[in-house]
Amino acid sequence: MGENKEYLEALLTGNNSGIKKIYDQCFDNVKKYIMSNGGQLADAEDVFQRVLLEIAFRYKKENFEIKSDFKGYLFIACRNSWIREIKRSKKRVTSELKTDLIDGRAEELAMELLEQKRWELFQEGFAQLSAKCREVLKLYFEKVPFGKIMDAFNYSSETVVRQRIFKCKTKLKEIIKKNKNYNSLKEL
Amino acid sequence: MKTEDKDLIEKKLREQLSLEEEESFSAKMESDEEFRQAYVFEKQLFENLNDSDWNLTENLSSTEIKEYAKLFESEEARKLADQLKIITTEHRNSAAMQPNRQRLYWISGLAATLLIVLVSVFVFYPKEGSTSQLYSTYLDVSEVPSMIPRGDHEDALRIKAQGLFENKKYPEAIPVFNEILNSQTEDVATVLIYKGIAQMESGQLENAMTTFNQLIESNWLDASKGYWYKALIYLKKGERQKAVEILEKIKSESLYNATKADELLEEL
Repeated sequence: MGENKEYLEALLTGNNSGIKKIYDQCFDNVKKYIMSNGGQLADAEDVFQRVLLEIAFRYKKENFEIKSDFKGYLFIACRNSWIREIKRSKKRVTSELKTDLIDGRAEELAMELLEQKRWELFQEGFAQLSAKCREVLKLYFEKVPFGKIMDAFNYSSETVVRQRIFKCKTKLKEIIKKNKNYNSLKEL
Repeated sequence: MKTEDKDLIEKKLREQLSLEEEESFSAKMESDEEFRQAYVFEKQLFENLNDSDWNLTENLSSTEIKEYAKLFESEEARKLADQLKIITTEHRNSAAMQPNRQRLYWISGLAATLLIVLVSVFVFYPKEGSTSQLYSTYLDVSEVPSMIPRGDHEDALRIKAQGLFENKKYPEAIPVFNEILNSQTEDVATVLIYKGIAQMESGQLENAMTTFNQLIESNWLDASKGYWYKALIYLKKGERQKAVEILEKIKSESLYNATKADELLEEL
């Protein structure tokens, strides 16, 4: 997608009008999502800047390609960043004051970037499973009780559910572990 | 690995361990490297493939983290960060200064006041024409979840449909919804809801009715939401009695939006 490359180049070269275009086209959706999920405008701005910075430097270091629509990709990355932020804030005793995008946060940016990369790897693997496996595993990973999974798919017993999950999960593990990037991301 | 160890990991991740099992789990994590690795991988599966969770990094000594952290500390990164900060401020200020937006606030304020007056008028003097006002009041598009689950970041069709819908280009959005429904089988309940709303909003009330009946007849978790939207269609059509019948069903069976159904019944 030529447009994606333009956005990535704009970020990397600091092209002001290109970056402004990204803001004009993408920020409102991110703001809407974050503000309707417990955040403030300042949180949306912080997440948006952070994710753009991460995308720019991932592109610089790995020359990575965004295979989908850039706007959709950016929205999902920001949404993930906000879910991450919520999870982290539950673990923190006090909240951090965000004054600068980089000062004291370089490691945090690196971690978030690599977590996103790992998330993409798992999602890619998951997408390669059959539709049935994806449906069953989705409920399993959401911790839905086996009895309910059995009812939802009309399986004859919980044992059958467990067998099905075992098979699908084994297949998924094989796919993920075969990915050449998995080794560098597994022990993050 | 032993079956009992696999069970222990699964129970841990599904939050089903007893206190005694927790102790045994911790001991295993300390002493058994194979067990620890298996657990780490299973945890990654659970946290990366559950839409509301996230897999946080724990190993700060990773080479990749160090390399990226170094990049983020570079002058180049600092320059881009400063630039992003300036553009963010400019964007915020220009959004706040936009005259159209201010006008929109005025119009929304005025519309809200008008709506309150209208609602209070027909609460006391119910008449047929007021049902369509109730339709507009109670149709809340923001309560419909996004059609793009986190796992589908490459689904261009859904992104396109969501965009058209958000821009209120309903007639153009409907064929895209159909395309999704013809080619996908997962998470299609939400797509049906979007399609039905687009049909309602573009005046195709009979088609919308068919769409929501399709939702109701499915086995999906969101199937019962179809009743709420059918009630809204009857309101839009001015068929008060049929709307009341469905709303009473929603209320008595505690279906989706039962509280709102109760409020609406009061107003009808």
